Amino acid sequence: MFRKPEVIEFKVGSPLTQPPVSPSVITDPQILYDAMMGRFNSRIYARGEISLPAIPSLVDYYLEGLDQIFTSLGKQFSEEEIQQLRHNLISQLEQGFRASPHSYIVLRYDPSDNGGISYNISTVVSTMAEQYNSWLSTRQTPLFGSQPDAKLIEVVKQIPGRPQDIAVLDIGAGTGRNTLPLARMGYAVDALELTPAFADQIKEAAQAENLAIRVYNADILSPLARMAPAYYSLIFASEVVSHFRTADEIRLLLAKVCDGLHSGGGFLFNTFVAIDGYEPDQMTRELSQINWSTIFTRRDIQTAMDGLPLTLIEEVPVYDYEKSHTPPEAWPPTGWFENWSLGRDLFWLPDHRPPMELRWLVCRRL
Amino acid sequence: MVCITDPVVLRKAAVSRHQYRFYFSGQFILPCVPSLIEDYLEQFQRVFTALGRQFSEADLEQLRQIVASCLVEGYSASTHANLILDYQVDANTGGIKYTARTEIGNVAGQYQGWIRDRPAPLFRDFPDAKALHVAAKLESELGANPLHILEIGPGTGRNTIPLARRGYHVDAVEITPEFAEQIQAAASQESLSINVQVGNFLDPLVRFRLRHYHLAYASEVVAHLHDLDELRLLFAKVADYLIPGGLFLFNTFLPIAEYLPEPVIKELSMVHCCMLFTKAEIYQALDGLPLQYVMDEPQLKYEQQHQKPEDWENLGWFGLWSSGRGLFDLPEGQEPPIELCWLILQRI
Repeated sequence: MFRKPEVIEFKVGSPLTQPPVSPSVITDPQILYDAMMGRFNSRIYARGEISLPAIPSLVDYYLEGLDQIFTSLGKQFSEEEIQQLRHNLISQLEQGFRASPHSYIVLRYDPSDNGGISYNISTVVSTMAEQYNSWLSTRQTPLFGSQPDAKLIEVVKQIPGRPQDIAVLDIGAGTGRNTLPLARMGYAVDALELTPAFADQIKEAAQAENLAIRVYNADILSPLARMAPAYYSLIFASEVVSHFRTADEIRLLLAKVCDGLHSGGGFLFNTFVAIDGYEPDQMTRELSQINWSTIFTRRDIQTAMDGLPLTLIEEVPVYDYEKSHTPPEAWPPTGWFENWSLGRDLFWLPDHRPPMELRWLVCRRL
Repeated sequence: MVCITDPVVLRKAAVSRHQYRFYFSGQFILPCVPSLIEDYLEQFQRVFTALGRQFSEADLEQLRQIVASCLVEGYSASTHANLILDYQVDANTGGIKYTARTEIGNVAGQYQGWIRDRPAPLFRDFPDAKALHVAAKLESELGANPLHILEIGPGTGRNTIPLARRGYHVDAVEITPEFAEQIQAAASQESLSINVQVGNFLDPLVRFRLRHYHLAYASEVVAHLHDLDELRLLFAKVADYLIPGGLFLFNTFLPIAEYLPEPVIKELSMVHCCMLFTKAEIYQALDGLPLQYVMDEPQLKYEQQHQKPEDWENLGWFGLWSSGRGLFDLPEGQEPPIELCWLILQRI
């Protein structure tokens, strides 16, 4: 016998649930064929598992695909069963997406005892730190490239004074791609990194080279993550805002940055910005989050900055700037960087430019 | 082997054995002051000894480590953190078993307790003379009409409402929701130009209009701060909102020049809401900010000269607290080396 799944939530798609159509004798070969196959389909035992990224706005897309799969297995769902499935999908998709853009819902189905299938849906939540942690075991280093950001080096060099007197904060330092070169140049660098394994790597590297880097394992958006007030000359966040989920999170970042910068200090960050005139819909916004490319409009960013003591002084495309300021032998920084920074991880348009791209934004604190 | 028959020795031995049939349990609740670890341990030991239980060196060391980590955790988390040590007889061994934890409170919680337990008015029911004087002076000097005031920590509106009655526009941020409601209710009743929001001024998302206010005002607020970083953040944010030439009036406990408080006193001052900053520390917190130190003066003396005598009769806890007796329990005639002072900073 088939082993029953532990949680049987819904028994659906049985071909034997329709009542007899008519009491008369049938000899039409087509009707008889369908009748035999309908009966036969109840003897097909299907079991499987489908994992889907938890994107609430894709519920109808998923529903259509699942319906096709079950139909092809000979387990046609009734309209009522489809609506029930839709209802179940929505609640799991929303729950997963709320928890993390890296969540999946897992639909498992098994044969049911009435010839249909039984299914259950669960949510698998994965955090960004877990995702990055898995990079360590599955990807080749350096994970984020070996060169510091060219724009960062340009901005930091514009700050007058001796490097040792210039306090710099790297938010989302990763494995130290920017932190370490800045420290080698003599800047007083602090690094904030939320993935514990990455923070440890920076600490080890700093120790090995005898660099005075203070490394904090924390999420900048956490209320407990506090920085020294009015202290830094430069704060930067490279490839960080692309992980954010809402414009409110940008505002919190900017507000905290304002508190950490001294008057006249600079804030450099990059984010995906939709080109003017393109307004992403809800589905695009949700999909951008799971593709590590959260899309923001200019209005989102302006609203986030509203009333804060920050002025936007420069904005340039990351791809173009970095490409033209990086030695050809060091380009691209990673295998994924070009497509990602051009927005193609969200919009796969290999021969065109998508309506968003990663951009450098330089701000000055009043 | 010697068989004992001496009745005195036997009585003692039996009674000592009998102790293990005594059961007791209890709880200590102590503010998290890391520097007091040895004092606290002594106190625990005294109580446990009195209950007939001696801790071995090793047991004591373990207790020390557990308590020390709780004290540090609580102290760094909040100005209102307690260590809670529950103890009871361990039925198996006859010794003491205990659990230690920290309980983290906050300023709003403290005042909600006041609302519950104390009769109104919780604070003095007259405004600070200094606030009214500084506002009036700014109004005439800057020719500001109306004067825009940012009040941090208005409490029940003791100053907010009198200031607004003079025609000033007051924006305020108050950490205790019940207080904010009281002020807003009073403001709507008299149609006063007051906007109160609930929040902590130091919260990154609590923001006000940049370069907008003539006067920022914080009475009995700095005493609640946690550390020098918070003081600097307070200054930095105030500097954002003041117009050039605008003033920041606040009060804080200042030690007299000859007195340098040791760490344990600083920790205690935080826990007792009399947070002590030395003048050197205040200058350090101001370093590089567009704020300039204008003056300081003892608050009690200033207010006494300018308040109505009948108001001054009825100071309540404020008189003791502002003269430093919230921190130092000294006999009458001996003055603590700290006192609450008015300070004024000017936005450059």
